[in-house]
Amino acid sequence: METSLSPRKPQKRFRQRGFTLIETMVSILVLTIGLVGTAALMSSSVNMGAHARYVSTAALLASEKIEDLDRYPDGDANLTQGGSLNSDVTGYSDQVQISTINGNINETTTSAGVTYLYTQKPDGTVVSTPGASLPAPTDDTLTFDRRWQITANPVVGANTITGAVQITVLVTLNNQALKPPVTFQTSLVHP
Amino acid sequence: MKSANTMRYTVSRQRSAARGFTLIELMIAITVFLVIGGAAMSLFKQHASLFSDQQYQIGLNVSLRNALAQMENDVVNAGTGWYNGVNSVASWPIGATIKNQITGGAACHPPNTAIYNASCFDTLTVITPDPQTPPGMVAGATCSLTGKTAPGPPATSTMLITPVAPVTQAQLLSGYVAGGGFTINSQVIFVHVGTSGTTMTTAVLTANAAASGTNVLLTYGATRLDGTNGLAANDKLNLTLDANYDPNMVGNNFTDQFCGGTDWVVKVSPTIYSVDTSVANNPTLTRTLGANVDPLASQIIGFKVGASTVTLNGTSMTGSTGAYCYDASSSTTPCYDFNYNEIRSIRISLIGRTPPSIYQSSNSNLFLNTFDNQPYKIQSLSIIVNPRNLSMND
Repeated sequence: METSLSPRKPQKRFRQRGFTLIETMVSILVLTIGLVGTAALMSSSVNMGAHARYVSTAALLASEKIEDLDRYPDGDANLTQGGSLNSDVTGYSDQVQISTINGNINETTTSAGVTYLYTQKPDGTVVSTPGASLPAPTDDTLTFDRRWQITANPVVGANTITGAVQITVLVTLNNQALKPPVTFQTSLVHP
Repeated sequence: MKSANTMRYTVSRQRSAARGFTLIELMIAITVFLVIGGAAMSLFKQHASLFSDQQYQIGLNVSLRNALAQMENDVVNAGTGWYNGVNSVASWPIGATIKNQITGGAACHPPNTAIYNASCFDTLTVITPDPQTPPGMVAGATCSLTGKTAPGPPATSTMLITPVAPVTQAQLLSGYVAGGGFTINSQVIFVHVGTSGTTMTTAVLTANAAASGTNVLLTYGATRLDGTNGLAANDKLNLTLDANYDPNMVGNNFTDQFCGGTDWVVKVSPTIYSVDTSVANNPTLTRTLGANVDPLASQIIGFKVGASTVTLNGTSMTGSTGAYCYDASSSTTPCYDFNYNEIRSIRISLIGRTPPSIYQSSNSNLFLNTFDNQPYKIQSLSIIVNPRNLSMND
């Protein structure tokens, strides 16, 4: 009787044995890969959030410059044909520096040959310094380059708009290594 | 016997194969798990706080953009709506007024605090005629005066205005719809159409308009004899109040004399942007329209309004440097000495911060900014708006 019962007992125990060390470590490895994957996902989500924020800022800066140029009357020296989107041309480019932690907001504006640096400070004052350039950037600053090109008598479709000018503004974030790079371009026919 | 031995052997071997962990194995496994799992969790935790930091900054960005979008809509329409049945005026006088705060320093922002006081923030007033009230024409064949030697209430002046068809007397009194009309406390602008341009003044009605024959009688706080105001209560728009004008400018822009048949009285409904600092740790940008005060964005630590003129003191500034002026009181180029009618372009910059408390809650990751050592990050956005009605004909 005993002999006929015994073979079942060990078989049952065999099924109930715990994990081996190898199995445990493999499962920990899988768990770790999962956690690291989640962390990487969060990291990429943080980067994408930052990217979206920078592009939105770039878009606003582009529209700011368009409006800035649009205010001049026809024939104004600030609307003379010139400038390039591929290189900085004096009078047709400026820079905006924004910091999240040092408080000062800096913006250079060049028009009619004079560069102004506007510095808005945390104590509510705005200082405008002719001829100054941007302070050295720190780790947290965002420096946006703005270039604009002014084309006289632009061709839109098949039509030449005589007497008008086309203003094209390109804004590029130049000091953050983000992929894809942050750029924004927009255009307006004035008047 | 032999078979029994074999059986026992088998059983013992199988038991040995089916045994659980030894204590050593268990401890190694737990240690490995703690080390790797701990590393993974700390990475995770680090990213989680980065993630929420990012969320706060995105929230800040969205709130600044919303506020700027609202301001863009209002400011671009500054000075529109004047031609509400009136086309005998060549150019209407005004679209926006700006009050710049230039004090700065500790009065605005005590060092090493998160407190920002009212002297940090500018005020922008966008002036448009009240769409619910028709303009009234000055009645009679002679000119009436708004000015007295003692300006403002309790000194009052009166003027008769007349409805111009199809406007009715009842519409002047109570508006096109309920809530309109020349009622008590209405801010009105008087417009004089002279030969060399438009001059004006402003006052606040001290009584509801009353019917007087076919005309309407207005009672309002008196202005000075030159058309400027001495009392803020009589000029909530800050239009003529900061009167350190030179005499030429006063003569060019303001008058207290308004003549029957050509001149107009218009009720305006200003939209005022200012920062409410009544809660010390939460300066809030508000938009005030009539009795409604709407918060637009909280945690605003910078609100500056610059303006650019294309003409100054009557001199065309075509081809000018294009600089923006942040002190309306200055008469040095590019500033305009309170000549708000010279404004052609407005630059609004807004600086916001993340709520100061969020970094304090996690001590392990305490962040302090570098300008006042407080736990918040900042972001700024700026726009330039050309009020369409003021940019024309230049």
